[in-house]
Amino acid sequence: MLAFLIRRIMIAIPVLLGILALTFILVHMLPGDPATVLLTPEELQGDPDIIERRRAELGLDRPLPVQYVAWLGELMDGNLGQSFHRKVPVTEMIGPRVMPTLILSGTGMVIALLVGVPVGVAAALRQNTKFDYTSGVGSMLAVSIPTFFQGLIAIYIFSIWLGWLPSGGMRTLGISASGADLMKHLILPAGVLSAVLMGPYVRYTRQSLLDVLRLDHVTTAKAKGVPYWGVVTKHALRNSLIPLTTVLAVQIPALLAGTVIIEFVFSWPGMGRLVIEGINSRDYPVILAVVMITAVLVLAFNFLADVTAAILDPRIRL
Amino acid sequence: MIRDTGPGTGIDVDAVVEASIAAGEATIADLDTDEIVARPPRSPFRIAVHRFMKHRLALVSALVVALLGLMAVFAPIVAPADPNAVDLSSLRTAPSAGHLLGTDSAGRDVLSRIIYGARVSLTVGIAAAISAAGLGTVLGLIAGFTRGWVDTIIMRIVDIFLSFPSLIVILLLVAILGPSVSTIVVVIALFEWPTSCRIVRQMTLALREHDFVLAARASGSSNLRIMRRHILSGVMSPLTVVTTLLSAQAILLEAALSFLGLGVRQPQASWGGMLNEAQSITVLEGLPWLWLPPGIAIAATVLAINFIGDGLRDAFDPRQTR
Amino acid sequence: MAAAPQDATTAPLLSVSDLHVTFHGDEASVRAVRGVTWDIRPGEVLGIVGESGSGKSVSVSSILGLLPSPPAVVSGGPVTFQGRDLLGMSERELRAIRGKEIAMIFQDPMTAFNPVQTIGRQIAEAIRVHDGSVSRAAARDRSIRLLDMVGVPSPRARFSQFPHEYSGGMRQRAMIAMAIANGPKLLIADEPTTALDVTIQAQILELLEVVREETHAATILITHDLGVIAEVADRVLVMYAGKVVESTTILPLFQSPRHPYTLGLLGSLPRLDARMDTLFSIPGQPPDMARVTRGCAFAPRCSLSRGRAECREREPELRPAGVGWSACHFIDEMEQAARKVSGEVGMDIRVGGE
Repeated sequence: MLAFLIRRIMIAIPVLLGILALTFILVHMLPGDPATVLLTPEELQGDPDIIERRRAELGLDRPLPVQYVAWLGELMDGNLGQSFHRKVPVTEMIGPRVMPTLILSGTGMVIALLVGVPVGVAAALRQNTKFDYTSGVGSMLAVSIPTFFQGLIAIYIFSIWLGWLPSGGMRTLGISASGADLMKHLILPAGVLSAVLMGPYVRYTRQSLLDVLRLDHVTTAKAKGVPYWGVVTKHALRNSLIPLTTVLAVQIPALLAGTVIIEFVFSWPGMGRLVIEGINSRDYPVILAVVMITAVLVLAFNFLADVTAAILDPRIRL
Repeated sequence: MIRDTGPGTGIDVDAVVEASIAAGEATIADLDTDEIVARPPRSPFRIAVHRFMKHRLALVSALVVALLGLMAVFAPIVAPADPNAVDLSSLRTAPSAGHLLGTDSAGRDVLSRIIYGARVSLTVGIAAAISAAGLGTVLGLIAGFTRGWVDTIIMRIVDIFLSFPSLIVILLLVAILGPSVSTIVVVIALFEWPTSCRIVRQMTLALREHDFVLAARASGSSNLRIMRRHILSGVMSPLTVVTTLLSAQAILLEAALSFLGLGVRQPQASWGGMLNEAQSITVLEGLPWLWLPPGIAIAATVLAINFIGDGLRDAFDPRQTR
Repeated sequence: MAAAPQDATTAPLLSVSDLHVTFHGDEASVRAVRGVTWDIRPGEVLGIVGESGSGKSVSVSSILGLLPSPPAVVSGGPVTFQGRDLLGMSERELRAIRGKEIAMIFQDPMTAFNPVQTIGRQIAEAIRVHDGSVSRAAARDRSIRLLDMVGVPSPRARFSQFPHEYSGGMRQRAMIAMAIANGPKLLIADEPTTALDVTIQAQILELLEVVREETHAATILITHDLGVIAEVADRVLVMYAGKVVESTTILPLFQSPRHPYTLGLLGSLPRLDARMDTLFSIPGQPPDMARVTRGCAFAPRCSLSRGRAECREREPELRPAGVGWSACHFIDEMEQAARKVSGEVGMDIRVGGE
């Protein structure tokens, strides 16, 4: 087991470094000198040297590789840099946004699992029935209708037309924060987010279970006298859920992309919105920080998934 | 391992690969019987076409996409008005005889913009998918065929790309390089090639162990030749399925970009861009003709393409367990 | 339908009567079993021999209701076990019998066991599923004893190991242990040695013998290997294209076969002790079971038939032939045919003897 873990980590490290390097290069390709972006028109017309001074202040005059190494060093110290735009530490900007994003994406994923997996199981057990076809078409729809459109429709129906739920934001102004208020604001965005994930979850669960049900050991269990539900839960389900942990991990990038869009549509104060603002204002450190965090999260989740699979399936540990 | 799935695409690499291998073997088995004299062996392609025809949903979808394509190509003829013609006297008017789907905030005819919008979506979808598939195939073939450290490097690069939050980086790149259609195509392709690369690599790994490849090598064919003639043909079937599904993804990505205001720039008509207007509550609430049609257009197109992909996959899969 | 020979004094344990199994596919229906009738007495070893596709495994799986029911349709019958018709039973009633009164041993022990559960747990499951009052600990002890009985070394340690940690032979032993856990009256072994090395095969067959002696269970042994049959069987059924073509006791099968197919099988056995110039094989291929029409299914390949009309038009029924039964129109001509084959392969096959 230990050997397996070490091997897994060895694979992850170069990927991590690659991610960081690539991101760093990318962000520095952005046009629009952040120095000029931050100066007001009056200041620009005043002192011609002010641009140079600004750039020096922001550390933009040092060569690229040096900046990169310096940046990595800062990372080790837990310093993600200063936002060019708002002159506050990036950590301060990202900090308050992390929880909302986690709440949103976490809830979205949980809903998708709680609904998607049972539906997939049911569809497999009732193969070729109306339920199977309907759920198949449903998953197809969920994956084909663009997320932002689903969001807009959801807002239209539940917020504007029915007036049940708020159309955006995380809390209602003027009321003290409460769980119920949060729930009201969370349902719609998390619900739409879960729709994106549900499609694949239903599909994979169904396919995986169907594949396992055809295996020999299921017949053996039946021949032993194990009752139907025992066969399904103890011999089929558990085996079919193992590959699903990997699917979960692989869907994380999709989850994150969806979160960005949902945060935008629902004005949710999370990291996704932050990134878009950052791109519009050419705020390198912020963008870099968010991209890095997400990529590392993806890596971490993949790692977790592999470990979980190894725990559940003794054959993998070899 | 299901690891190889493209994010959010629902493409199960293993299943697609297995199906194609099984399909190929089924045909080889076909050849074993005495019937080879009586009936010419049906190539996998013919069998697949035959099975695709039986899939009604896929056929209808293919028809729909074909019509959309025609509409896009002949847009100038089909569209009732110039999509960029601004008419300041009729801003945000409801559907009427003159404007079947009303007008938008700049007085442009919505219907015409929908029709012209198809151009952007379909171009991006097809071009991005084909580029991604092309790049992925080349790299996948090399990785699968050569193995060794070349393979390892390519797969690590694939891992890196797949770990990236693609949407964010795409936004970034489009912001850097400017939002022209060709840029968007290239950038999207940059994030879609890993999926096809993995599939092609897996197929290659499987196929290269087959006897006919070993025979070719034994008779002195160069590696390149083997790759081209034997493996490429085997790779075609899963590749078509994946390319189809990738184009659906590309269309969704482009729409998202335009919706966020960071994609195809106004005044060019794009479905995602038209939905950008719906951000205001006034529009959302009172002017459904501005945002419902483009959204439905995207959904219908992507749905149709996905059904075609499904149909293709079923057509190539002899097991029919789905 | 004529019944297989039985000793009038001992009632059969399991009695199959006119069993039919058809698989309905999208394009065609396959008639895998086309009316078989046989029985087995307590403590007896019945061998069922046939090529792949002869219907031997399918007929036996259908008895326990193990075939997936949308494609498979089981008809005919009755299949009487201890006085009750298995085909008419509900799922619950069948479940009480599976693994307890009738147990199965499968061909590939690697895939027959659940790869993510320990072997011990799976054996214990077989016990506890039929007797809820057995505690975890008690089931564990019993399982360990069973593993020991079948010859698995260090059973206590092996209890907690996974299937992939066992060797092939050991896995099959474990499967046998699992099958006999509840003391079944009938053991069905479906190609138990096919997936194993030849040396291990002998060990497993020996084990099955020991098990039979200890438990007095009747055994149905399905195989395509005549050598295995020769080792252990008391009586043999030869199946071809979904029907029983010959049924007899063991020695007469080898010494005086009464059906051309059996003759062909025997003739095609490569032999070390006789000089063989050519390998004899039955020409042609087994029929496509989706398209079996009238007449004898073996006729196209039969050297005895020589294209005679009777063979092509009428399906032969099982008739008494020597001490056994055979489904052939021309049983009387078997002697001549046997002599011819003997000559070719140097084997001493006679008909009309014992």
